[in-house]
Amino acid sequence: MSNVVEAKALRVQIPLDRVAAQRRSQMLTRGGLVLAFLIVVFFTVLFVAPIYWMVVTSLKTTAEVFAIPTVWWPARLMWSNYPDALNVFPFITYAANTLRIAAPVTIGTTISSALVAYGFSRLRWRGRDLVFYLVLATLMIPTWVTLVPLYILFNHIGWVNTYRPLVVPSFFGDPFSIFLLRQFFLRQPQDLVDAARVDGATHLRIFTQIILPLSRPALAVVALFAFINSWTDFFNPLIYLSNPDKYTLQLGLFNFFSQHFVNWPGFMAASVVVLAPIAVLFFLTQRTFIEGITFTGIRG
Amino acid sequence: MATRIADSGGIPLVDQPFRSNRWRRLRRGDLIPGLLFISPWIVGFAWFQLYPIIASIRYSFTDYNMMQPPIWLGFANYTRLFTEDDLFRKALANTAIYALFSVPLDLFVAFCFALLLNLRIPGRPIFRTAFYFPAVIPSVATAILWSMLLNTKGGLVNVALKAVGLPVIPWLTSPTWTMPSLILLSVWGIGPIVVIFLAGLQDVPRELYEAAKLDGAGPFRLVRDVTIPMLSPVILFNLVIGIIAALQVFAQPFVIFGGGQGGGGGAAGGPLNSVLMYSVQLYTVAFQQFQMGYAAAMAWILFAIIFSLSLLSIRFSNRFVHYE
Amino acid sequence: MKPAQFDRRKFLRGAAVAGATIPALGATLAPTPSRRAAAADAVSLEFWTPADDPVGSKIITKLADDFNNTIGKEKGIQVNTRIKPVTGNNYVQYTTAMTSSGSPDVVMTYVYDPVVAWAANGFIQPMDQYAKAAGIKEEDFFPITWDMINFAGHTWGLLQEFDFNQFWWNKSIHSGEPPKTIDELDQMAKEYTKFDSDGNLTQAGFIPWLHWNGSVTGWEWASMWGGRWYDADNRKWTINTPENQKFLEWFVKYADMLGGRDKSDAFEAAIPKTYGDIFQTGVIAFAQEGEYIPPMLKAEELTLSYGITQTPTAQGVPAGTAYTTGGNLFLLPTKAPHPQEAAIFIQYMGSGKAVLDWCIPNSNIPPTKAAANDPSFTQQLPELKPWLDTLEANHMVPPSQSPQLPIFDQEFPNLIDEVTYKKATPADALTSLDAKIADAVKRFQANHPDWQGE
Repeated sequence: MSNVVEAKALRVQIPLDRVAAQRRSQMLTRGGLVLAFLIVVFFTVLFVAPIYWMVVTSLKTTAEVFAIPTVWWPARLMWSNYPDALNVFPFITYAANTLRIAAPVTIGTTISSALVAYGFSRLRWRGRDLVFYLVLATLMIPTWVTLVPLYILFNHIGWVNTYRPLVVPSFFGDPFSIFLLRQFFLRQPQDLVDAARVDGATHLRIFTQIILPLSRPALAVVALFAFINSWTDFFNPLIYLSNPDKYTLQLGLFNFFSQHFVNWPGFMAASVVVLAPIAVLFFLTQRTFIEGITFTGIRG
Repeated sequence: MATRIADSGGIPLVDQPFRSNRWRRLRRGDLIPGLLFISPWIVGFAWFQLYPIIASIRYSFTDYNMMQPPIWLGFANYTRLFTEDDLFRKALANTAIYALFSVPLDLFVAFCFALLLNLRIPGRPIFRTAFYFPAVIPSVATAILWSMLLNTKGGLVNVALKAVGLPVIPWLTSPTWTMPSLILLSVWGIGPIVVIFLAGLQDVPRELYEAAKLDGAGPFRLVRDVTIPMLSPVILFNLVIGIIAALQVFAQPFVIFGGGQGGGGGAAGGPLNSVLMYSVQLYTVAFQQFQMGYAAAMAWILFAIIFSLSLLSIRFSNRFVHYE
Repeated sequence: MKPAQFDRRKFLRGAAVAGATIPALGATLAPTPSRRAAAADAVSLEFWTPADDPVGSKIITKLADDFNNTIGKEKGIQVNTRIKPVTGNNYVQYTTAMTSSGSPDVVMTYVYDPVVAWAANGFIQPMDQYAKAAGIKEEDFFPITWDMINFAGHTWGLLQEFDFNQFWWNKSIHSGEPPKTIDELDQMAKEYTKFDSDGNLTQAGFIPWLHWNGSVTGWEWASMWGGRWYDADNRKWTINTPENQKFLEWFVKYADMLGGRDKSDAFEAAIPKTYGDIFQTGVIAFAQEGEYIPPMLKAEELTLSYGITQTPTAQGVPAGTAYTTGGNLFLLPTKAPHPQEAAIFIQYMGSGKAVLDWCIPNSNIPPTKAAANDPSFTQQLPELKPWLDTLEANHMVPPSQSPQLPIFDQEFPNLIDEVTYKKATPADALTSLDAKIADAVKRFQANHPDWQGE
């Protein structure tokens, strides 16, 4: 056991590029890996069921959606549901609008939350943790009771029916992301920060050149979540936008619900198209926060 | 073991002892940079959040319907909640049960999946995407899906149960089964927790594993002695966020048990209000019954509960959480 | 990357405004001046509608365009149609906007539920003077629709269509004459209810609480027993009455007939949740369904064999009794920036042409006598004859017009659950609900002395 503690004590002395190369640990034998693979496959099937169901429903007729016994594979695939669904609302316009919101939100959330998280983790000042609890506390207030005063506030400054209520707050730190990044920043070796301080580095420099590069996985998670949350948000656009020219994809999905009737195949086809970019994005970016972290230039 | 490692290098969350005089000198100026770094949040808080928060605290002591001027009631809303309102009590109890079971369950399952998905198995990116994806599917779609998968006649889950000789279970319609169903369904949304764990697993230094292996540790010991201590700040994060989210659970019960399509106006409480959740009741009181003052009182009671539980978890975990 | 919509000057101005506001916390924010008209002279009206489906949105948009090109042009009014989707009864985005000076000028709802609460809590304003000026007369309306828009001493808006259920039977199960009385219904329902060897339902004669899980079925079937939950004439809740108790005992009887609430719920969960397709699975003999179903069945090309007739009633209760569940309403928010112009548009949306333009393609019931008897309506929708007969019989029961309706609506499904799961007797459940509503009435009246009745 003492080896563990010793290795930790030695850690800062190990060149960081070697650490990077060794990040991935292999804890299991070959047999263990096979078992793990089978377990993962089994549960993936459970988790994939809804995706399968979404796609299959998007290819059904309305009658097949609720047929009993359940239709697991339609007799005739209704590919025409897709072009039909995308004609129900101005898909390209809404997609562009959604991107216009999601892109700045992603950038704003990541940058501002990282700054704030640094102030809550790598700097020590009186009252820091008290203020941090206040940040956490804002996550705990049910939104329903602040909705009306917040709307009145936004209306008062003329922001209703613009993208500003959806975008601007993200430039002022998101509590969830601040908390997440704080926890990750605290795990970075304090000795590195201390050494840099002794060498006369400013906090901004420590932040940008040591902490941020070391926290790439967490930053990627924050950026990805910010983008996805903004992309899939339907409540805030619903509250703050009323000009159809400004609507987002999630509001477009409502077009498949009428008073007494839901066009499920159309809704599912549109949902597949709306969510596909997220699946692709996730698939492409998951390497960033799960694999290959490079440590270039942190000692500079 | 975990505590020993933490004790050797861990720094308590609340305040950290300065190590040397040199440090003290360096630290002196940290208040100003600290405030500068957090200034975006301070500005945003003052600008967007302070007014709504204070307004809603004030509402909680009034009769307020959002249109006409609030009428001061003193503590009447709070006393009415605790003495007269059986729906409030029911919602509070249901939510507590939900959180008590779903938070540890989700955390445990997500942790296990993160470990599995961190192994070098073929097709790993695909599996990771599959686990994450249910979290982004629109809740109306998932509600319909579950009512189809869980129904007693031809629902896949019950077909499977029947095949292995188990009785068919009325998951979403029987008052005894609605709560277990909702708790189990929460597992389905663990994607984000898994992703956060995976990110955390990336910077556990390999030499710690090597060292432990030299001591003859097997996979379970490695997880217990290295992974969990090194991941403890991330575990704490997921625990606190899990508590906050579970006690405010809204979308799933709201959509699955009514409230979505159809008329009738009632709250989405499920049969015999067996899954009437706190936030759902709060929404109903505020936006269907126009008792915003009363809803604000409910909100601040929930806030006090979440805040004390979160603080307790953070304080309690200081003994176990390991920071560099 | 700099977000395009992030205008720095406005941002700073916003910060200054917010900074000035924060010290005055708690004080209501001063309203901003009302919106500027879009065109040089025309008044620009913001009209919010939940009609977001392809059919509904086209009709509403076209009606608004027609208005703009005719009356609007003449009177200098330009209507901007804003489709603000809703799910179910959740009009939270409407409610929120109506609290502020950014309130829409005209609000349309699909359902009746929020209307009374909005009226009682001051979200919408009475339209008495506008209605009088426009010559809106009681004799143009059916009594039921007149009652729906006139309550607590005021006119609150106009209807464009309204909905109620009729009794449908599945001819593949029941080939004979439909039941006329509740006794006949009970006998037939029992005959068609079948179980498998495990005691699970395989076919149900009739599930009185189907679809709506409480509120609507409770209102509807209590009225078939002669019960009323709310006395609209005297503006009083009438909860604990012998008729209502009889109705609840009848529900308990069906819970027993169907093998218990849990069995019937499990059975119900396994049949489609959308409206109108209950016969698709062929496992239910009788059901209550709305007037909007026939064209949906046609559109889906379902070959179903069904009949529609008036709902069976208990002894002494007239045939043709029915309970309306609501309809498209056009309302005038209290903070509407242009109430006068808004009233003109509302009047147009409730006029004969607009009513028919909506009701014919959607298969809904017109609220005015002239539109309902219009040949274009009766010829294109012959299958709605039972509904028109029921209207003619004039035994329709209006929805509750009490501000306590949302509270009742939350308690009521639970009361039905408690009674049918046998956690409470009908008498006890009624006593307890009666007390709860009485409390709510007391609390409301204490702070709203001007509101008429309970």
